[in-house]
Amino acid sequence: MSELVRRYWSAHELVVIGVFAAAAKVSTLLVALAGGGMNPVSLLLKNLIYTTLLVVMLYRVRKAGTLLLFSLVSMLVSALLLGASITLLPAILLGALMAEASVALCGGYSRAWGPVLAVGVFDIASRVCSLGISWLFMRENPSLLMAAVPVVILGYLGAAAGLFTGYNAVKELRHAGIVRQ
Amino acid sequence: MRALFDNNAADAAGWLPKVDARAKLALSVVAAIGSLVVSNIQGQLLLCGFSMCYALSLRKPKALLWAYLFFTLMCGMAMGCMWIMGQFMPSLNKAGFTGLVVPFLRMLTMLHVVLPMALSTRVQDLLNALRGMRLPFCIYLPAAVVVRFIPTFLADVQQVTESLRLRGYRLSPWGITRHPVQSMRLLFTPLLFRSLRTSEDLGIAAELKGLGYGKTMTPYKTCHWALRDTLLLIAACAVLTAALTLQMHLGGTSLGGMR
Amino acid sequence: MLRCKNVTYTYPHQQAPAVRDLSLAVEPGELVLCTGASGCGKSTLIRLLNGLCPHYFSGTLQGRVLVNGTPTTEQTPPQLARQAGTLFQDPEQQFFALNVEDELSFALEWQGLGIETMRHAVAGAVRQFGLEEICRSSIHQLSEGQKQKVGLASLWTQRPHALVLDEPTANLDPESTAELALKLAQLKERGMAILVVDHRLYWLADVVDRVVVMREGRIEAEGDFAMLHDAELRRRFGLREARVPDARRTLPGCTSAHGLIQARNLTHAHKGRKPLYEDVNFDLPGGVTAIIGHNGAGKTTLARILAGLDQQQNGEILIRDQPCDAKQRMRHSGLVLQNADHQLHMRTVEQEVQTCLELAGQKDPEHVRMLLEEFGLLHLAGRHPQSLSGGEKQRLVVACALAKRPSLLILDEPTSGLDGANMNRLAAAIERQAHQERSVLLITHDLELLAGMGRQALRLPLISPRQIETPQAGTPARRQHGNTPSITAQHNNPTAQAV
Repeated sequence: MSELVRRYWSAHELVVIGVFAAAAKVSTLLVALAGGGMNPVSLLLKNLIYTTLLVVMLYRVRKAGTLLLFSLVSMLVSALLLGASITLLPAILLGALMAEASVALCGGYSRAWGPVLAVGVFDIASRVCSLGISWLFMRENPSLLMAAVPVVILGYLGAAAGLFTGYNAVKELRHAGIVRQ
Repeated sequence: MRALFDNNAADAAGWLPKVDARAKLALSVVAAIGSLVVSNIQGQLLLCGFSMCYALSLRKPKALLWAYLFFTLMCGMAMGCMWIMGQFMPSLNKAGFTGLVVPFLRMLTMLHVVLPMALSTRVQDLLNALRGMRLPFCIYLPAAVVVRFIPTFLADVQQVTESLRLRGYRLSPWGITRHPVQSMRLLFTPLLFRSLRTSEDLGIAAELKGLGYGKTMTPYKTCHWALRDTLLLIAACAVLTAALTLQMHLGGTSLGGMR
Repeated sequence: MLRCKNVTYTYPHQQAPAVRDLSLAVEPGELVLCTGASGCGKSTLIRLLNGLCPHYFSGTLQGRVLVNGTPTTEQTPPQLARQAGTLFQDPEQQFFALNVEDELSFALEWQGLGIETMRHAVAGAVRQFGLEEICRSSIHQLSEGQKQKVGLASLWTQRPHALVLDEPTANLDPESTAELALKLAQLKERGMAILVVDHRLYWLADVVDRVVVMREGRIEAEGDFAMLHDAELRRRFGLREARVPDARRTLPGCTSAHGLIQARNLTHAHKGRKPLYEDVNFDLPGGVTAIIGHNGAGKTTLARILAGLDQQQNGEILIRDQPCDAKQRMRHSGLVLQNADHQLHMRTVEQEVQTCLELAGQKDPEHVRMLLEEFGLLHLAGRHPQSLSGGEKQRLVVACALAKRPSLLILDEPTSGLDGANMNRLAAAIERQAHQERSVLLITHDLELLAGMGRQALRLPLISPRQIETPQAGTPARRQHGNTPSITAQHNNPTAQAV
């Protein structure tokens, strides 16, 4: 075997990131299909589930940069396989960077609320940045953006609720003996 | 989407499925840059027209028609919202014909570019594409895992929903709307635990297989970059150049503001 | 080759050691079977030998674990894996790629090998395990036996000198199990040291050199296979049978002329394929009936049709003499899937059963208590369903399926991976529920369960009376004792496709 390399994320941690990225993609797709894409409740639920999984993942892999890596991997696969627009990638990455910076400034992921803070900042920052990208697309007629704002707000409400359900999910996983303190 | 995961599906018609996934990704980046920067109707029409030819070469007119239907619905809703808001704030509806058409053309161009990528990229090829990109290990491994497990989780979801049907739960858009919390618990909890168990098992397998312990990766197979990939990118750049030229000569808004 | 010397290991956050003062050796050319009840420490033994304990799971290790003479604490798991490969119970959960060839090469890509070396290793593994025909197949299209072979082949590319197999037969049918035994015998002849950890015992009778029985982290008995013929020993340690008859050939066919569940002129085919059943009739009485047939005969499809998940193309299905469409059949049936994790949703065991009862219109809390008690789960009522052991989860999902008092209960591999005691407990609970007013259909590869629980068999493929009168070449029709009309089993149908 060639020389051993010490890596920041172990293979196991990278696998956790990949599995949760797959689960997040499938869950949101499922909710959108089952509930109808334009259904406000399914829009809420979609974002709630995504955020919940993100919180649980960050409690499993409590390292700086994990959220950024998750976002990058998720967008890459979405763009290649699921037809997501690559234009959102800068917005998502910027949001993730801001989230990582926030957590770093507040003591890191080792804090009990570190993962929740990271996801909370990510949710809002990425949405604001995505609205910025959308503005660039619609700059000739910014009023078109107004049509997207309620959808974004509704999605954010779902994501905000996901912070609580994510934290509760971690508590439930502790009850099930799957995640330890 | 199931067809994407069928390894033994008959080869899709046309040249598009044979194009390297990296070329398609690069094309979508070029299209994104082009549609963002170009802001006059002529340039956008050029981009939209060529991207439509690209989408039509997929030879899946039904899929394209469905996409157009969805797009029309979204546009209709956006216009409807605009009209309603215009009743309260008339200043919002001051944009001229260009202001109405250019944003829609931008979105249509992106639709033409992402749809072929989604429908012509087989997941088998995706792993080879990831290998060929020579991504760092920290991106390659999770991306490979996502590709590997999306079909598995889709199958799991089918099992979960069938199990719920057998118990007597009725899962429908109306049911989910009426009982969102319960629906989330029923659908989501098994998937969450499945994800955790899967990540544990696969993580152990990754350790035992020595993934990441080596410094470099030697791809067993890669997609080979062919002449058609190069020609596709050259064509895309040429179209972009033409659209920008039209912009320069005929005028349009800049990246930073409105007219 | 594989050696444990006075090993005591304790997981982090645990008080009691998982294994205590354990000493074991597996030499080259030797096959050792390690068995014992659930929780006896078998899995920990595997983790000790492949280095996961303590490299991955941390914990405290006393004593020495040696692989090829070197302590595992001085080697990394990948280094250990190149000497002693581990195959876990569900190989598919360890696949990284979507097709066979990619899976065989996946691990090699990160070892700094040249392309030709990798190709040589993959080709060698394909040849060794006969994977030529499925080399380009998707892993999702493989049978369980084929997945097993791919898992072994993937280990083979590392050229290990030893193999550790964890419950390798849990998902295999008897034919694949026999094939695996043959393969292990061949590998043993080539000088490989092999440790098999399994609940099922009979399949290794002619292959194993030594048996160790564990309990509470210690080796309590050690000897040759003949030791397992002692019924008292098996009972004491909660083991399965050492000799298991193949009841698939001896179970009587369904004799009831007027069953609880009746199928009339049933016809069904998958899209674009030949019919699985064409104009067939059968009657299922109350009690336990086993569905028997080779892979591809249509067992799962039949179960799905009877449970109402799928609608048959033609024909009629009656429950208690009433014709029922798919929706109505679903109301009267319960189907327990193999993977219990897909069927557990709530926070506690009690809530899980309670919601099922409420859906069935029974809100009395006393029913919850009775059902939990019936399945030996009352003491676990406050536990999270995902924290239960495999046997406990299986009992829970069966209890949930019975909450709606179905006329038809279908069980798909209910005892996969269960030890003898848990298998018997589950079988007894199901037997109590199977009576004249309820038909229990069993789909299982577990010969021991079949021998213990099966009362009659519905053999697939199903053949219609018309096919009996005009038999086609290659499909001889036989009248089985008690079957009206003729329902015959064909165990070696090479043209059948997997369902």
